[in-house]
Amino acid sequence: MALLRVSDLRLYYATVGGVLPAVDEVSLIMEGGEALGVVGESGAGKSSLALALMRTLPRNIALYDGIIEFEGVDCSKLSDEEFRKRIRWQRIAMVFQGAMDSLNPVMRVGHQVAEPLLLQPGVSREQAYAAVQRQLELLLLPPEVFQRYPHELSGGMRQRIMIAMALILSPKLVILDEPTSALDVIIQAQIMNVLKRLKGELGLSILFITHDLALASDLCDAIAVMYAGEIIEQGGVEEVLTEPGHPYTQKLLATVPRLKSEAIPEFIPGAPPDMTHLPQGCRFHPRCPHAFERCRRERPLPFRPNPRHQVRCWLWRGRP
Amino acid sequence: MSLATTLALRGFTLFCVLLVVLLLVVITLGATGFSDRMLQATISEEMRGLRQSLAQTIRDPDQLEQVLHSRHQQLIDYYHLDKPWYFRLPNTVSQVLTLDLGEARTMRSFKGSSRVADIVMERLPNTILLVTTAMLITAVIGLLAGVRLATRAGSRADRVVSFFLASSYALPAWWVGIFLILIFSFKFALFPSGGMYSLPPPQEGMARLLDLLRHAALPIITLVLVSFGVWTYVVRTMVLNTAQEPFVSVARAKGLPEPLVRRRYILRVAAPPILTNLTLGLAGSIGGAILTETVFNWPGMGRLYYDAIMAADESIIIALTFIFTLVYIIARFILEVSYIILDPRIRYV
Amino acid sequence: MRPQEAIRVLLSSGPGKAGIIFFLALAAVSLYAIVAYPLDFGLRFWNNPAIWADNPRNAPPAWSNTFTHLRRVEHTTFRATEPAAVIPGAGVETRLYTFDLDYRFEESPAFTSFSLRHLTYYSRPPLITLSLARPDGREMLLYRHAVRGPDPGESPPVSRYVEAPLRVYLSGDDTVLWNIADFLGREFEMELPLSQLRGMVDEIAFGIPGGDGQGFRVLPGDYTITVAVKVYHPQDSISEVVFVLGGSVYGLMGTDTLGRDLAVGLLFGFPIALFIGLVTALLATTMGTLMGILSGYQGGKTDIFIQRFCDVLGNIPLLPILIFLIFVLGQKLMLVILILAAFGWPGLTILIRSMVLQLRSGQLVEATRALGASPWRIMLRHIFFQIAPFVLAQMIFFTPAAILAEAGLSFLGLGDPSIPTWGQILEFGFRTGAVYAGYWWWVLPPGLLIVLTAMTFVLLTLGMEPVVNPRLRS
Repeated sequence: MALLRVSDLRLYYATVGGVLPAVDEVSLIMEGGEALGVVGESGAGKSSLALALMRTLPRNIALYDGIIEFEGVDCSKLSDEEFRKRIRWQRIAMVFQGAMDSLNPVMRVGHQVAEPLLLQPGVSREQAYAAVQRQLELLLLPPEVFQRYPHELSGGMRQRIMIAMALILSPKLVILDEPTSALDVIIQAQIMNVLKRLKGELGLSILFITHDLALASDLCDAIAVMYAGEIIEQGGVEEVLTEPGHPYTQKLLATVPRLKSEAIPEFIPGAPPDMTHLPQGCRFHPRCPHAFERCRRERPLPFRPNPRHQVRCWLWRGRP
Repeated sequence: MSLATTLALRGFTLFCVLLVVLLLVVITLGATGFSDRMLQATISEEMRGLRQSLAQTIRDPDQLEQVLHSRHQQLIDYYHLDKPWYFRLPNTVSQVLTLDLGEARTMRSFKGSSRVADIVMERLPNTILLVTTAMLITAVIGLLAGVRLATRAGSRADRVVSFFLASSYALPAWWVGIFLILIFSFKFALFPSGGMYSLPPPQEGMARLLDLLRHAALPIITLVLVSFGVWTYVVRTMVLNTAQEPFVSVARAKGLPEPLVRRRYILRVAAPPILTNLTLGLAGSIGGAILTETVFNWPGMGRLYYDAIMAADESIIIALTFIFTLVYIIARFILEVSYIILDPRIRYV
Repeated sequence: MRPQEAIRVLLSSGPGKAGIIFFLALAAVSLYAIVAYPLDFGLRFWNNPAIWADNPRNAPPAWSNTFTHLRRVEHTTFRATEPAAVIPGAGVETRLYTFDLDYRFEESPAFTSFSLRHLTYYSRPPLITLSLARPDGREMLLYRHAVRGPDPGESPPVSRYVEAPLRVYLSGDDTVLWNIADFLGREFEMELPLSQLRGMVDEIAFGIPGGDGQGFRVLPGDYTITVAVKVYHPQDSISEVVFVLGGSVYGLMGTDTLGRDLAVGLLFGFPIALFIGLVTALLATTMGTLMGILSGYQGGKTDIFIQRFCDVLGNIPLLPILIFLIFVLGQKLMLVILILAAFGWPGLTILIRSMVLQLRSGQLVEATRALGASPWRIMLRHIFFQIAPFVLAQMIFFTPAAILAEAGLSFLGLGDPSIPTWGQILEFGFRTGAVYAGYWWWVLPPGLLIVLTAMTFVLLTLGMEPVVNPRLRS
């Protein structure tokens, strides 16, 4: 049984400019202990996907449907209250983007980490605090951090606090939304090492959201590439990185600077589409060098070049 | 910076405010010749009394004049009236700072004392009673209504109510008071139009308290009416700003129940900025108290101020200017301390 | 943001629109008041008792009749400069000044008076007669007066009643009493002693006997008051004839305890309130902006000094200091404005400084500085122009505060006596007990106007919010 099965997930926002399909017909499957990297430019809908999975939605929702099956439980059948009590944070936790603003500035961080645990029935304050201390230790944070306020901690420490907070209820799946984007390279490496270790030691499943393909490839077993609210390509790390099927993924790979290569990093021509006025047909076609008539008319279906690889592009039609 | 240093710095600034006000008062009085005239008036008053009492004992007019003259010189010497006003400045400043406020010219305390300190101390509790009660009521209404409004921000009701709240800024306290007197006192005779107790005041405890409440109702309603709008608006805005912070979404994602999120992540975090905004309104409420007491003839310091202006009693006016600043600064300092307690970011910066 | 754009944003919001309409109305009324009355209105009119002598005291507005069970007499002043008709004769002509009065009230007038100004005659002194034509067809002679002849040494043309007009208080004049007694005897065969008639002139003139032989009841209907002047030379002239029907309700806004027409006082309050608010706000924002830019842009010691200074100044409770300074330095309007401005700017300086700090580290300013632009040029072109909409919004925000502060001060009896303001009208009412006597027309309108004016600027501030805070624009 798959840990997480998402099919035809849609999350549309109602904005002043019109309806914005932030997440559109997204389907994916994650196995236990697996790390899936969700990659894309900013505005591609990565964070909205995370919010849709956590069901922490903003007010201006125009549409939210699809099936999210977690450990065989169809979450869409659960009420908000049931979902909050049974799934959120206990089974699926999340590390939010921007650790700077994700902590309550007037509460000691240790207590913030302990909070979800304290809400569990039968957990005493001492037990909870001891658990927090263990988490801090696991994340290589000194114990006195417990008594600190967020503004007294460095960015890297705060991010690790956020991870500790996500892990406090021992969830099966952790969603990490750009956990390292605001940090400098050294801290970034530290955090990545911590994550790798946790994945190995705890058998944690990770949904890793990033705009950095290299970072994703470092940690993940599988990659999903998002563009304009859709997953346009997904598959194992090997498949996606070595044989990118979608012209967008190819372009994205070409933008990554390489240490040992003479090749100059390329830019993807054009700009991401206006999400409230998406082009007809394939959403990437105005920027695509291979676009042909059909791309301008019809939205491509997902094709499978091989069982572990899926591409949403007309170029793959008819191929095995 | 440690907690103590932060507090000390705020305390010092506020002390500077007090000093500046005092200097402003003393220099204005000196430079305009006002203080000379006041001292001369005091001396002639004393001389008149002396002449009357001495006239009984000293029969010889020449001798009387001589004695009076030497006494006059003595007094001028004593008050340093022979020197320009700025030589008297340090003395005056230190006198006022030690709350040695002098004698009133014409006004008396209810018990008949002419010492300014007696007159003021008699009234101070009445003012504090009125203002703190009004402020407490305002705070409760403001917090409840503000939070309620913030949860339905953007709705038509919110827009309309916010608009009316903001416009209550345009209401002068004294006019609202007059309006209430006309309606509830003159037209419907529900409440007395002024004063603190009926005449004669009821002696028995319960009746006395009820009488006080009846008299305090209109002034308190006035103060609440003119200030709760701004309070509510401030609370609403601050709560709304805080509710949009990422850590609130995090708290919800953590699975915390909504009341806890609201209390611990929104209200608690919004408290310091709410407090700051209210600190700024504190000076305004002192003005409101002066005018409201005047309208309702409430025997507090505000009404005393008005009476002193009408009677042109300088020493009381000066003393009250100083006392009002002092009261304001003390209140301000209390708020600053609570701010520091509420917001750890200030505490350790 | 360009000015046209700012105005468009302002107009697109409800409060902004209302604010602009109110403001234009205030400005129009103010303009009218300035044009219609001299600038020394306070001294020449408002505080001059002679002007208001004829008016009833503490009279509610005329329209309050709509709400009372008894229709009370509307105070009316009839004036004529030209005769309505001239009856020619041999060597003599009679000039008739007539006033038509539709008397629909349910009480007698409080008093009646007649006056005549600047009369010149060339031969014999003219003869003046005042009579009343009543709705029951009866004619009543009230008053007859021969103008005094030339004094020894005086030769025609002779002028009379130039300095002080001839003013006859009909209700208390003895010759009127005689005429009334005569009228009663002739028309109703009532013989009443003069002593009993005293004080009943108006009751009788505008009434008929009650039937029970005792009192009189009001006779409603059309009356005509005729002032006939018999002149003996065609060149004789009279500049003005006035008849006053003393009422108990008055005009649009009623009167105060000195009989002053509150409508006029309130009207003159408009330009003053706007003047106080706008000038104070202009001074305070100018100072605040200058200091804020200086503090933020210069940094260093200047910055620290200005910030400390603002911290202290901004913490002084305004009203007590204002009361003290005005008490000692004198009750002058300009002084009030200056003090309000002097204590009002620090808050703005702190705000502007933080904005300037942001702009200063911004790329535009950095680049301009790298290009070698002078600091003054940068402060003006690249900093001031960017914060200008914010400054304007702050100025509008400050205006009602100044208006309310002045009103509060006036209410404490520290207003400028030479310039009547709404606050002072209210203060006079409060001090003379109008509040406790229930003279609502006296105490409510000035307060309402203060609220309305302050409200106008609050509305404008609300409308300006999207201009200042682009996030609110949608």
